[in-house]
Amino acid sequence: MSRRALVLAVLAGLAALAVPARADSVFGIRGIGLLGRPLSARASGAAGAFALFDGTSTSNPASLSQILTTSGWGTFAATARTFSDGPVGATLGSTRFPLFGFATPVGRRAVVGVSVSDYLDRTWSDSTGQDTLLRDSAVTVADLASSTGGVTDIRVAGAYRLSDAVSVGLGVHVLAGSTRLTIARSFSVTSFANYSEVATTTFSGLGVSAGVQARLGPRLAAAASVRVNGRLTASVLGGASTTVALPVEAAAGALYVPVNGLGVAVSAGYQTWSRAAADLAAAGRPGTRNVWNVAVGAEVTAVRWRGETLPIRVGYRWRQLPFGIEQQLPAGTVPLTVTVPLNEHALSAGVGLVLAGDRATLDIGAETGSRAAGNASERFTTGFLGLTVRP
Amino acid sequence: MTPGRLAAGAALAALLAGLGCRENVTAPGSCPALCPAANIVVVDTVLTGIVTSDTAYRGYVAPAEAQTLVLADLDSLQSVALVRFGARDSIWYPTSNDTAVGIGHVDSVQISLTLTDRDTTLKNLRILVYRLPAQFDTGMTWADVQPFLADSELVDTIPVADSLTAGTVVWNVRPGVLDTIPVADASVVALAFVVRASGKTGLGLTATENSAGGPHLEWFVHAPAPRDTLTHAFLIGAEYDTFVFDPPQPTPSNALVAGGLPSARSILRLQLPSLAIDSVRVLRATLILTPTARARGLPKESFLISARGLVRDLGPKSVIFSDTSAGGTTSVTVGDSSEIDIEVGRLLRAWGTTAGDSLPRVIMLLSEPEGGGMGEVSVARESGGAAAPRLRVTFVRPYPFGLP
Repeated sequence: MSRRALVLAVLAGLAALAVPARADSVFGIRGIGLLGRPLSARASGAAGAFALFDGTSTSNPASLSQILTTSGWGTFAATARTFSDGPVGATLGSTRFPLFGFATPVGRRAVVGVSVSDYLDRTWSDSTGQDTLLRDSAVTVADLASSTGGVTDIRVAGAYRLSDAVSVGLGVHVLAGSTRLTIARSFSVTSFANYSEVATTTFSGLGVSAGVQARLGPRLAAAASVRVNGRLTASVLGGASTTVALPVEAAAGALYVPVNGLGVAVSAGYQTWSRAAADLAAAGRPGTRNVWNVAVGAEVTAVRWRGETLPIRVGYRWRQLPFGIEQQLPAGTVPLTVTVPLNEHALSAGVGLVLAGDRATLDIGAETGSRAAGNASERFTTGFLGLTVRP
Repeated sequence: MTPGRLAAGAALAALLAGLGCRENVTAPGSCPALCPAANIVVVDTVLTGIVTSDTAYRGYVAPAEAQTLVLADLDSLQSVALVRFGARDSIWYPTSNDTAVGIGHVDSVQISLTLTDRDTTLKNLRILVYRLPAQFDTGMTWADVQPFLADSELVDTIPVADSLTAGTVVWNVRPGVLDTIPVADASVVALAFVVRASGKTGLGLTATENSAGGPHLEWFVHAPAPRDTLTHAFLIGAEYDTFVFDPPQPTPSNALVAGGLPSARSILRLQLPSLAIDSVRVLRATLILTPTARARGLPKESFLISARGLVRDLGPKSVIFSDTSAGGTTSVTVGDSSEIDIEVGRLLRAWGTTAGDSLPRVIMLLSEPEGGGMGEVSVARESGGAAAPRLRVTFVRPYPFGLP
């Protein structure tokens, strides 16, 4: 086996085995989790506006056609968050790896790839305390509910260049992953034993995606993708199993180059999460809604540093999240609660560095934004680091 | 790598380390909106009818094996301690390379006794010491010992200071009484100890089985002439000690008994619902026992009663869990007749583990340490109706893990 083939095999193996860790949020406790953003650090630098054209992101299988040589990539994301809900607040932080991938050209026109990314995040933890009466004595208890993990999207995709201007792609998505939910209670007195119970829930599901990417002129390109998901099966280890319908997802975007060295992109997506409402209601969980997401961004490639192009990216994104939070209404009101929608927006920026004679690219990005529903809000700042290797 | 790239790399690493080293995902719960849909539900209930069969046994620790020698002149209990001391040597070696030296004359003899507890409300406590035949019968009963408690056999009376509640009493025996040991006794002295006070009372002395040591005799002697300036002390501990008492402790047929001497144990065979046997969800479990009589023992004596699990249920010869933490203990004071509560949550949690699944659902009641004193409880059996042993369990209902 040649050295190149060995490196390819290792990269493919890593991509297949990698378990992505997700971007956490306090709001991940709602519904079946926080929607993942399977974007490379490069796409994240421009708020995801270029994601439909980015071969290392998983939004559009047709974008794999952008990959001209065997490549492997991974993204590191570190997030600092500040959560507040009236008098309640906390400063949080975490480090995650939201995306791994590998792709290689097959022949002159085709590219195949494997990626592993986050689809739904279920990593959250919250603690509460209360005084309660046990055996006729007042006892202070501290409860901790903690979930780690989520749903992982393993995509096997191929893209085909129909012509120099048009590429199409097809992807098969396998949803996998698990969450480990810990419920614990500790007591202020030693006469009661502390309680802690753990349940592991595994997920499985399937989806297919198709996409197209076309150059509409010398300065304009467009891309679109659609993804149809089956049902997500959640099985508690040694316990019950349930299924939830997953949405149909559609996205479209345009990339315009007004002048050489500057690209401007806009993209929008729509997900029919209301399909899950009936299953969630059957499980006693609140409803959900169909959601939109929009991103605009720009990439300047006119800047050079040490003889290499230094892409500079900026962007803004906004998205709706399907699982809102219930807000209590004044007594006597019908209904007693109302679901407040959860929305998120962020500003981002980033740069790319070419390393090792174009055999590797280091993309650095950051975004800052917030997600809020009613009085509850979470401000976040995330640093992205992406490495793409072309051995 | 150029210095510029090195600096850029270091700055990048520092930035990512600053962001990346934080791992805190725990937020204060903002309930109910941002808390789990289900709550932890705690239930506290009393399980009755849990005992399927029970038995009481007596005779595990005999008075001769007990850690305490009981002295009493109560109406409810009369008890005398009997001690046979080891043989006293008749020679000693002043130094390691010297010749043996015999006993010229005895200067004095000391008795050392250690009190474990006493009734402090009674004054003028004293211990009467009588001489027994050196080779007295170890099967001697309360009746058998009476003839030796005559004034003619009185060696001495040891006063105990009113201020002393526990500790060692050292007393010089009246001169001449124990100076010589009859040849027929083969250098062995045996004594009986009787308690008296301003009122009827009881007293505990440490026995040789006790880590504090039992009674001692010490002879202070001079060598014979011409080496009569040499002195020596022979310290002799008890070779055998026991106590005899009257009346014998009863084992009522309508009650379960634990403690006392000879010590009693009771076995409770249980049938418990699954909610009470769980390694995770049982928060607290209390075995509730209803006494059928006041706790017996020495006045104001406090003692421990344990509820322990078994490795094997072999009736009176059952193998008890060696881990004392897998069970519970509670303190009882003589005269108490209130409900006896023993925490057994750890045992029930141990039964709920994979390793504990095969263990018999049996609890053994016994005193702790067994044979530590006369303290004894008798409690209602499973046939005792509302007074039968019962279990108060505080547990968590199964959490509805399901759709995440």
